[in-house]
Amino acid sequence: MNADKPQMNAVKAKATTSPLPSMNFFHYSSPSTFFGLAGRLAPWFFALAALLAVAGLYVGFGLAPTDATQGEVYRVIYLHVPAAWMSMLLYFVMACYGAVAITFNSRLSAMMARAIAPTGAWFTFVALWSGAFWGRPTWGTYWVWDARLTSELVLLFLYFGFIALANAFDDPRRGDKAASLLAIVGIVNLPIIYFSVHWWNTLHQGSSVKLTGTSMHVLMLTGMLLMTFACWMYAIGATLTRVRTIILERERRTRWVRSIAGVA
Amino acid sequence: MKAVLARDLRLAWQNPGETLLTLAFFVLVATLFPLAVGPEPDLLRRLGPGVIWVCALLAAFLSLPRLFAGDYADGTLEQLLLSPQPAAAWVSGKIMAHWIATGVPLTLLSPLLGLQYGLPFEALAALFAALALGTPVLSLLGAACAALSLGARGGGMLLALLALPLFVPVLVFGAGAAEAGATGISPAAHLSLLGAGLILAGVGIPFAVAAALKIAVD
Amino acid sequence: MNHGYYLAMAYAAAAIALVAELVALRRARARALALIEGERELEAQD
Repeated sequence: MNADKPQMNAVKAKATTSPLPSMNFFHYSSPSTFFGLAGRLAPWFFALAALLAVAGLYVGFGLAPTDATQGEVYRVIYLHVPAAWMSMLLYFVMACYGAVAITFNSRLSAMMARAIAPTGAWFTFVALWSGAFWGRPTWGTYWVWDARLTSELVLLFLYFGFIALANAFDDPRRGDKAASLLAIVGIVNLPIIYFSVHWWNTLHQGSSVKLTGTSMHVLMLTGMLLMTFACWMYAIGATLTRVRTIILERERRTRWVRSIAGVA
Repeated sequence: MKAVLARDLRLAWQNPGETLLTLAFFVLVATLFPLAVGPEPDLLRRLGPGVIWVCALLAAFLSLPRLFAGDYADGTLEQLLLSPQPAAAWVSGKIMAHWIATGVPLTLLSPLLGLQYGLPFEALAALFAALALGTPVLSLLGAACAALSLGARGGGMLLALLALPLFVPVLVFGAGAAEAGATGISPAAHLSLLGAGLILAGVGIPFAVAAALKIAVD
Repeated sequence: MNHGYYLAMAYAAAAIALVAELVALRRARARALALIEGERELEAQD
């Protein structure tokens, strides 16, 4: 799955100024320039998310047929699976930004990691909650301590831990680095979540969507994929919006922020 | 690494108070449960592994703040980080000392504690093996969390937020192994998972801890 | 098989999460701007 957001290529470059000023590649890796870019891009991502969500829900609820075994309640899938995928994808991206932040001592990468965390946590919560309300009518229980559900719950607490650790120090740079390291260590959790349904006999169903093909009805799959992209676009929009606030706070002593704040 | 291990063990031996107290506390808890819950054998057999595992968790967790705090406060940590030895080596020594002080005694006592719950022999064996594999993982994961939150605001609560979720899978598989033993299923699957976790953590965590300590000291 | 309840609970939680996050984003931005204003005034007093 291509996890790159469009602006990530620019941001993942070194934060130190390049000796070649003509290289646009490094232009957006400073908070001041990225601030403007994020502000221009975010509304488009939100708009795209809304569009895709409307399309996805229309296909999912209006066009896709009723499931033979589960009836109507299977339609939670248009929320549950995208949310679960996003919870994992966002953690991965957050950990990548964390790795860049530690390796290159990049302030902006650390800010991006901090910006992703709350959104990731929300998606994880939605995945767990929607899963519970899917489980009750189909499995008979809201919760079971099997590998996948337990690891997803651990993921939620990893997000909380990241946020708490990042804010636990007076020096924000120390918080940046500690939280980034935590994110990197916790990445082990992702393969556990992903492969758990293969490795163990768990209550949670196995993957119906693989790279080689799918056993799902095509309209159900379409609805699910549309919702997945909707969530993805929303996540980018929310992250860009949040990072702008983080930049404002962290760079509030600089001249460019002071001049903007008067206008904004 | 041996030097740090020896030093920490000596420190723990010379100040047995805290270590023994923690241990005694949990042996007491594990002993009090059957008295409080009542003598119904089925209930006790189901509770036993879980209670003992929770005691192991808490024993590991409650001694974590002390793991690096003392050395951090008096500057020993900076000295150790400046030494030519790779930090991961002496970090391993420190973690091993923590495990020997908390996990090993509890593991060794677990058959006795398990008998109070009327666990059959297979369950006792599975519980012992699970604790032997799982308690080092708890020490490793706990050390990483302690290093990351060294000197942070919100100290104990932050440490709990970081460490307890990471402990949960160890708890689930560890208690599951003992229950499997009790019901006659082979605990091999649970134990091999714990073993895999131990190898992964044993190899990777010391480096993570070393990195976290460098961040803390800078 | 009234599964409408479960569907509604799941999607309602998502809607609440969405609104909560957007509200939080707005308030965080307002707080940051207020902080900047506050510091600017403090410096102006010096």
